[in-house]
Amino acid sequence: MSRNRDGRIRFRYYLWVPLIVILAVELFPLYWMTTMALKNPADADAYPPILIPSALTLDNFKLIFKTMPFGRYTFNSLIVALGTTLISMLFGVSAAYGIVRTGNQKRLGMTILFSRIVPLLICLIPWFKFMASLRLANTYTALIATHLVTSVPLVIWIMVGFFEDLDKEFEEAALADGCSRFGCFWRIAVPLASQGIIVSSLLTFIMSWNDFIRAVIFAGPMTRTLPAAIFNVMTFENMEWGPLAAAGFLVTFPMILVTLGLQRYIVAGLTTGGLKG
Amino acid sequence: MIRRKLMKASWTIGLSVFLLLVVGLDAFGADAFDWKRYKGQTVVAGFETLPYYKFVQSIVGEFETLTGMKVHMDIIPEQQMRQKKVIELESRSGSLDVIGMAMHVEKTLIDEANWYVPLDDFIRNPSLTPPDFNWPDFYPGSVNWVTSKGGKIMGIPGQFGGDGLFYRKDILKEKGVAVPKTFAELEEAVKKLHDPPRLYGFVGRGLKNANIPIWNGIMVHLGERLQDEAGNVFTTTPLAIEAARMYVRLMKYAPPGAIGYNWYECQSMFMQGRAAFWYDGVTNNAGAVEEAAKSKVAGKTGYTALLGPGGKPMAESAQSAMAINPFSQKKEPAWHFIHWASSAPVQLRALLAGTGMPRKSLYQAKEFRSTTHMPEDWLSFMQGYMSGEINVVPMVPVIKRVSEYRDIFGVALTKMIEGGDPAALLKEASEEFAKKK
Amino acid sequence: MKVKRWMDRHTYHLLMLPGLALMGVLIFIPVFYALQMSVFEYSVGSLQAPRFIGLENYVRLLSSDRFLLSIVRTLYYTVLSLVWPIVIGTVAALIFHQSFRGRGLMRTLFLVPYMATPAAAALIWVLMFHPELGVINYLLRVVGLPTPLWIFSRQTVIPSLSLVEGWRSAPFFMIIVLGGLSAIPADVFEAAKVDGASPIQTFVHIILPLIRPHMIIATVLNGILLLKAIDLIYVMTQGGPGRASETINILLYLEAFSFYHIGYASAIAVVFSIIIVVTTGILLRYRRGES
Repeated sequence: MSRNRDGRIRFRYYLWVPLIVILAVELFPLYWMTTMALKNPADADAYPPILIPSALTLDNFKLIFKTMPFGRYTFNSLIVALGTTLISMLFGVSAAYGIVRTGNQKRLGMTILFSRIVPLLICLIPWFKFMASLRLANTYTALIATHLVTSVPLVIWIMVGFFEDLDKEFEEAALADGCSRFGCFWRIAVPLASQGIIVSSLLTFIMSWNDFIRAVIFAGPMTRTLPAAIFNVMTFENMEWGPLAAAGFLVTFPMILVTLGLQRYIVAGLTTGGLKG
Repeated sequence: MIRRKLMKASWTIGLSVFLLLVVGLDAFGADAFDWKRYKGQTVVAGFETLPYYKFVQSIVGEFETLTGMKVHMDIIPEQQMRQKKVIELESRSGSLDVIGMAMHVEKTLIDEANWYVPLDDFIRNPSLTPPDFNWPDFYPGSVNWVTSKGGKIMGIPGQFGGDGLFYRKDILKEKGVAVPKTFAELEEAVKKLHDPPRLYGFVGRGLKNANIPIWNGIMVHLGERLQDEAGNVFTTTPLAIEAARMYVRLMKYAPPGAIGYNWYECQSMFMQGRAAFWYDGVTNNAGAVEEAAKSKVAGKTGYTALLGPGGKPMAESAQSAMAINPFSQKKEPAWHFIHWASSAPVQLRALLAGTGMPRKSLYQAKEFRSTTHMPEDWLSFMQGYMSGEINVVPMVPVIKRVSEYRDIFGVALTKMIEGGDPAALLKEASEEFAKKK
Repeated sequence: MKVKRWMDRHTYHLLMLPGLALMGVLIFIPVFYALQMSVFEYSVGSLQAPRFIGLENYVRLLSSDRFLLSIVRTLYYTVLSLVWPIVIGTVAALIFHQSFRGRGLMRTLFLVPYMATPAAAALIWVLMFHPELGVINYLLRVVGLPTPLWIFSRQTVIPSLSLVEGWRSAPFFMIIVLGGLSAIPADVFEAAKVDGASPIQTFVHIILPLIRPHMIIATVLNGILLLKAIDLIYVMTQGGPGRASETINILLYLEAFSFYHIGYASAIAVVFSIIIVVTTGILLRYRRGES
């Protein structure tokens, strides 16, 4: 058994088998979604199922764009995800910094944890009563507010971890030089914790984009986001598999791209969020 | 001098009279019905997935051209739409202007909560409604469904369901079996014709929630009522239990897996020629059955209403309706859309496309009689249904908690099909239902 | 001037305030409101004011078979959904800990199921699960294995759903465990090699104990999320067939939005929250005990 420089065992040939199997299982549904989206109606319903389609078509995508205002739904998803991310970062990063600098992590840790584990629906049921009195029903505001319920605690959680790791030297030096505390925060701490910022905004954006149940309850026809919209494609009668897969693909594809491009940050975020539990 | 003054005076008078006439005529003109009155406005309409709404969606462009308005039609699956409606109304949201109501589910809810806009004044107002709208054309049973306890019109009726018996004329003739007149006779006929796996004697909904209309249908045919004025339901009476037993006995002759069937799966089975009898919505599901291109039993199917108490034919109904959202800011434009979609020409086209519509005149229309591919049987059913020859009653109790009723008793029915004791299961379900008043 | 100095001295607290206030408004106020609603008989669409009934909702809840069964189903679902990712995630972590050509790309690809939109993935799984026409049963038939009814049968619906959840969360497990593996110093492996340990022995006696804390964290974190999961179940079965996949969350949703019992639903939410908080507390204590 030979070793690489960093001490890892060199890869054994027999490990290829479990690797291929695991990758195949994990990726097959996505492969299926893509091929189903590109199949023509006859092939889509064919039995035995066609594993490697040859006659590809974009008709399913065209049908989706024809039967539903996909542009509007995408726009809504963007607005909600961006809005949630911006607001969560604004409120969450500053709160996390404040918590760390005032040494309140332990005291507030329980509170933050509580808000992360409490089931969403306990907040959602009162919410739609509030919406009535505030006349906010079916607006982006209401929807974003329900997203903030889960994203703000997440951002605080992650950023507390990053701010704790910061070397206080830089800030102390700046303070001695007459920098205001806010200046320290804004011009020193935040740039130093930039990885944390990228990570938490990324995870928040993805979580927001992927959300389904809140969109179903709180979004009206004009503010509906993508996951809720594609669910409506699935009716109990004549479920057309091709267009359904095409819709699913269109919704998931941006997140796949994001994952492929920014996986470094995602991994960092998950590990920090996890290990610092 | 005087002449000039006279000329000035007459000129002033003339001008004033002219202006008065113009203003007067303008005011007059504003009272006339105008298709383009709401030009440029947008209406958002939310509906459950039903063929009638899908049809309207396919021709909504015509409305937009006619009126200069824009309409966003949002059609989503039944269960989801019903939950959404509750949220929409409870949160006083005005995001939908037009809401498609399922009266057999929501009538009591919206009536008691005052969640409707009375349409009586809209209908009567000549500047809001074209003269040929003809409200009396709507058949009384449907009108009954949309009328509140206080006598106000809560919505305009659209597609409706009327349950009856589908049967295979050819098979009955071949085997020398008479067309059953009652549920008891149906049981006998089902047994005789049952010939699995080629042909099943019966097919009917088994899926919880969806299966309630058959049980309730048998109940009312046996003479039991589903509820009383106060909203109490009668689910543990001997007739209710007998109806459940009969449902279970019939389902024994249904295809395996029928316990999970909704109307769509039943229809498929029947259209493929795999069942001799089907009990479901004759008024709304027969169109597909008679489509020769898709159905193996087109032209071979008979339709009848089984006899109820007093030997009178009886059918059970459900009703959809278009209503104005009481919290909408655009009630008049919403009405503009509703009366167009419910007009005789539009409903006739929906009928020709295969969906039963509630205007009496449609069934007399030349186009209908000449172009329809629907058989005599079906036409007689529709006529009997609308004229009152067939006794039409609601297919589920008209109470606020009907969704919960369908859920709790629906599960009980599926347990019975799997072998549970009907009396015990009904008792248990009734107790559960009563607990959460 | 004085104001500015005051603000500077209290910067940290001022920075903390908006975020916490937002959380208070968005989370804690609704929770209290839900607590309040749970002691009323509150029905949607009722013109009468809600009626105060004290703990009656809770009594009905705790004596309701339907609710108690939903708790059982939720636990069953959660536990099953953790089995698959623990195994797959750990194996994957071990593999990805090695270096080989294409590791980076494959590891990234492996991450995708966790980030893909759950609702979309759920729809595809519904297609794949079709007993007659679906591709999964087709492949099973080809190799001669029995073909279950997956989400269309009462007995197999929860295992099928947990399969999908497990599929989704395996990458998360892998990441966490991989982090743990990377933290193991190289000399540990050296020592094992020198001692003549076989790969399996190395794994069981050395690696496993060192990554156990990570596996536990991943399990706890994911477990909490799973207890509350509703997206996959709602999209795939809406609690059916019958009530076979009706977890607490689904029942909660039904009671509120299909049956109109807002007060009762709030009580369910409160009891559910208590269950989760207690479970989390126990699990955290266990974890603290471990380290």
